[in-house]
Amino acid sequence: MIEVNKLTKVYGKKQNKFVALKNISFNIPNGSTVAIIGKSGSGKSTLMHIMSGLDRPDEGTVTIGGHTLHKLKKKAMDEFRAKQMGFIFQAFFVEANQTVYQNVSLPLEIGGIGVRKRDTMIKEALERVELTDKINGKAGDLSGGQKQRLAIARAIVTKPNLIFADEPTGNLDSTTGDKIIRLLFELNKSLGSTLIVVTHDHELAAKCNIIITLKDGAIVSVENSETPKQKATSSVKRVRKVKAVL
Amino acid sequence: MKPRDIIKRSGRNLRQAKARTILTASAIAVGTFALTLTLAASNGAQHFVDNIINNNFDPSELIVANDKSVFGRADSATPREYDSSFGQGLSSANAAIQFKQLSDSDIVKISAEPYTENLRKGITINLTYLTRAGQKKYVGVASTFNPAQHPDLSSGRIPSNLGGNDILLPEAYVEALGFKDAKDAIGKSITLTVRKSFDATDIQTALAQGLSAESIKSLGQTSVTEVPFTVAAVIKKPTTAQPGTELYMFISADAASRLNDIATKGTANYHKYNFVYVKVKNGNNSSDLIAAQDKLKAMGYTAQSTADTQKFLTDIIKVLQGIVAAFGAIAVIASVFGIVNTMYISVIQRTREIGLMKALGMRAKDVGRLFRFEAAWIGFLGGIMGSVIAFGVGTALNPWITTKLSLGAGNSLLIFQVKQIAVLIAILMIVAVLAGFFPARKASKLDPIQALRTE
Repeated sequence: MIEVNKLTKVYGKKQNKFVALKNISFNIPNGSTVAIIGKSGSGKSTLMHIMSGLDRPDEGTVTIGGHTLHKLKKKAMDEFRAKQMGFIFQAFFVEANQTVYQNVSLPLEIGGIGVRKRDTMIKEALERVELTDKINGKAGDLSGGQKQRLAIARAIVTKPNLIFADEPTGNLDSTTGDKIIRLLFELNKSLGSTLIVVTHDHELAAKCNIIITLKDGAIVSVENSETPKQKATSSVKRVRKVKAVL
Repeated sequence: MKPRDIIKRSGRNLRQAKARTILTASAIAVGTFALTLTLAASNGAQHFVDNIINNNFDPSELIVANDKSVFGRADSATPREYDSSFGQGLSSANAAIQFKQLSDSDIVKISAEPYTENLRKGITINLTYLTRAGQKKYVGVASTFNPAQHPDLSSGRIPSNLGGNDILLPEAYVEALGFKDAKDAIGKSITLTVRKSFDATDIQTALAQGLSAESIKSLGQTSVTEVPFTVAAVIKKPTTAQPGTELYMFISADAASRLNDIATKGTANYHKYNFVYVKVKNGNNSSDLIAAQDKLKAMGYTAQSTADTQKFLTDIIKVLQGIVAAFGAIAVIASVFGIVNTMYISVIQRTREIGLMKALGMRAKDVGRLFRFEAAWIGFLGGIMGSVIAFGVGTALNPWITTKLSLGAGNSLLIFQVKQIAVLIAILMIVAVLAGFFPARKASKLDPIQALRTE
């Protein structure tokens, strides 16, 4: 369970003061798919950064699996992130000059996993994203969709409980984007990890079972359709609603 | 993150920027090249000095003189008071100098000291000429044989006690004196000739005979004394002789005294010696040797040990090498700025990568380490490049330098020692890590959110 409780984040001082998040609270059950939506400047990325422990709130707490993130010491926070979280970015952030294998190896090296175990885990992750045939190829030689699949492999290789995806389809054409969305949801099912997506993509947001809508740093709505049945019946309605927000 | 993974990743990062890495490392390589050659030259010079000392001096002996000018330590800027016992000599700059010599009474006094095992006079005689029946005359120098000398022989052998008429002949004279080869010279006779000084008795005899043409002629004939010697051994051209003594021939102490007496009788130098060798009882024990040296100094003499001679020679070498090493060190210092610059550029170029690594949980300490290892790799690469080139150039030039400086076979000016080079490379790696300190700190302190937003 992820518990976000009364989060507030303020940037700047006095005249330059900007409230990025205002008293944000919600809970996310384990294994959920969550979309955080809102217009630019609504506080989506700030919320993701705080939830992932990359940034600190001015007020409030984020508790993941009983650990209150911002009470953890720096070293423990880094370790927690290395073991419990995976990240997918819009710009992929793959090391172009390194091989696919070396790119996926990075989080395992950071987590201090031994070479043999690492090898098995990398191959397994690449198999899941269907990049086994590119294992020794340079990451820079991959297409956009392949790069994002590589980034997904890097995010899931440590089998994290929580995957953050920041605009994962933002740099992809719609066909490739759809494939990536399908892959993310398949992995969510097969791995049982919680997927938190920050997105402008209404198709992607509508597929998530929790949609958190932000506006000017505050929550406008938290829409929850826990069961597949609920999801199916409200799907068209949800897409329309998300489109209206974005 | 495990150190092994950091090291591997840092190496991989450098391989991805090959040109930049090689150029930065090249700056270090220049300094390493100079320092490696300096170290090699230092080893070679030290080895050469050690050989000279070991092959020419007995470490349990002290060289004792009555005047520090003998050892080249004269104060040439201050006027010296005249002393009737002064002898003539040359300074290290070949200027004529006068110095106080040791007399027979000094020798008796030193010989009577409890620490003196034996005493040998240091005699070097400038021969008028040496020759052999039916052969040309050659100039030459004869010197007392020092039992500590171990010359390489072409033929013959050195008797345990060199006899009164035995001579050790330099190889260069074999052909000049008409011998077929070194073996042919063994047991053959050669003549050493010294010019006898005129003394009062000779002149009185000539005057008694009346100053006829005949008496003047006989006076001239008696002024030259020929002394026959038998060749006991032929010595090879020495590779570790004291410079300038390559053509010295060696005779026993008795024979040297005999010739010296002939040459100096009736002069101020008669029975006067520039220096003597004093073998100290238990002289191999440095405390006994130093005690004897102190006592001799207290008696007003100047006493120099083998170690002093060695130090004197190596000090000169060290000063010259220090100058070369300073240039090498300056090159290394200059290269430090190159490393700092390269590392800063690397941090800027890889800001997003740093952000990603931090987002994935890499500790700031490990990010700093990653960049410090990269700096260490650059230092290592520069060190290897510089030392390998220096080794190659040195090995190629060694034979030419050996010939040019007449060091003799078996001697090299440049002697490379793997251990020294390894230490040098380790030092360069430390210097490189220090150079990479600030860029690494900048990398470790980067805010991952800002870093990931960087375009």
